[in-house]
Amino acid sequence: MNRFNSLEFRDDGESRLEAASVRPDEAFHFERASAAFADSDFEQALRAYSKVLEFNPQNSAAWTGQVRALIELGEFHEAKVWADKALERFPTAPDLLAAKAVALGRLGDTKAALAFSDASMEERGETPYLWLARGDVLLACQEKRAAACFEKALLLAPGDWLVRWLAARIHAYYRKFTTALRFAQEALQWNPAGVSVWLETGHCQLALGLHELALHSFQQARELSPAHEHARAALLQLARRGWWDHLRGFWRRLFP
Amino acid sequence: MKTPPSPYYPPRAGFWSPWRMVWSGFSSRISHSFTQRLGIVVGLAPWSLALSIVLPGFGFAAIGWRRVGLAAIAVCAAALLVFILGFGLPCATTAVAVTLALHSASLGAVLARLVPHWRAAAAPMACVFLLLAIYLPLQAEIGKFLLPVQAPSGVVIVHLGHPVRLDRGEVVAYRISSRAPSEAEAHLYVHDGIGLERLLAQPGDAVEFTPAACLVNGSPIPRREHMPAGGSLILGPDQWLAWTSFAVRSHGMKEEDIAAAFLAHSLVSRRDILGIPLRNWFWRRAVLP
Repeated sequence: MNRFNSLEFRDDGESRLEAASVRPDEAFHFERASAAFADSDFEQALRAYSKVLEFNPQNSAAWTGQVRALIELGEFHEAKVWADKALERFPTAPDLLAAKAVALGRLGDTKAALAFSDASMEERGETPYLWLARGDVLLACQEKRAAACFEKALLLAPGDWLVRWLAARIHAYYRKFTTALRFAQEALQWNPAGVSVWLETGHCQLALGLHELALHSFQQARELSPAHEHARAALLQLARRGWWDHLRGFWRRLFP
Repeated sequence: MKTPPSPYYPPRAGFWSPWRMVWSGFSSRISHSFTQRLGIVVGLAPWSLALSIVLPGFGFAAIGWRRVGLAAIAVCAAALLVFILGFGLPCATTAVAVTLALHSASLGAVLARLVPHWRAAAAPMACVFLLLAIYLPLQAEIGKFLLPVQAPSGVVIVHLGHPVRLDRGEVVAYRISSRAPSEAEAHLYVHDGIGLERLLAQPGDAVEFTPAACLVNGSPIPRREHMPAGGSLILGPDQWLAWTSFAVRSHGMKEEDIAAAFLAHSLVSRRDILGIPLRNWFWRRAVLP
């Protein structure tokens, strides 16, 4: 990440809105943040969620979104710090508790992660994310019950590609690439035009040593969005693979 | 104009983040195993884990394979007995190898149960850990007190340490070190090693070599191989005479030169003396020179 990445420039969408004399509001920024998150542009999602909070600091979904974006960026310690700050305002927000549980689980504090996950499940409301987070924590604990949590999350969101994509990302983080690929392919069935889904599918195929399929997936992603930075980076990564990566892929297919 | 940072923008990871990620990844794989799985493993309390490290073969019993564990402990106990009784002999080395193998396998079984993700590497990791943490330090500790020396008559165990008093007639083990050859020894090369010889003379003794005998303070002792045919010397305050028996491979060297080299290597200082050989090691009786 270079030093200018976090500078907040007004993008074209915002400029166009101003040109059309429509003032961007909380809902507008929230929609942009959600879209960026689903597009796996987590840096942009972070900035958009912070815009939402500038409009309405009481928007717990935006706080949760920021924590989740930090987790997806691999900044677990920062996610935990930010979750703590958010929990000062919303101590019983289930999604926030679940997000903190995920951050703790990935930091290795599985005992606390389980406690926060339990707390999130005890609160009212049952969202797919609660179950995804539960599954994430159980995977960190190497528990076999994790699979049931992901099934429950899918049951709560039938036909939702985002939940399947998130499940794929979680499994890929824990290096369970065959399961991740299954979820990614399910997500593709529901959203074949999703660049992030093609990318995730490609990364899983690449990890399993399925180079031709991975190349196809990345090319699909680039066709859908030629300017997508991640698609270009993925194709570059594929081109740079050496014999060691091939060997690792072969090994993972033998011993998933 | 620069936009002021939003108060709702979260803190971001610094340059040290990748290192913290490595640690997180490591701890997330390990921590659960040692906090949660300990309860699952049959009877594997922390003391049980510690015992698996210290006691060879106990690891099998700790994870519930009681019969295998008992058998492994019995084999290791037998191997320990063989090691003690046969110290210095090839059977002792074999006994250590067997113990290490069983110890690594049992501790590896515990590790595999605790961290299933690493089960393929558990036994090799256990072996390396045990070698570094127990076996090599133990070998070094034993090596401070006892040293098996291969003598022509068999293995002799030497009790290491500098004796307070060394008298004429005592058998000692001493260090033979190669040194820069003198003019007379220009064509002579002596290998490093350990000598096991009887002390012929002690500090202050007058030693005289004749073609028929060697006289120590006027008392004759039998001539040894490659002793000089003439000459005398008085031993210094830190000099003992222990006539060294070398296997000599000479190629046209004069006998006087060989004798001079033997004499030079037979004058032993206190610093070179390693210890006193034990006459008995259990049922093994040492045949000393």
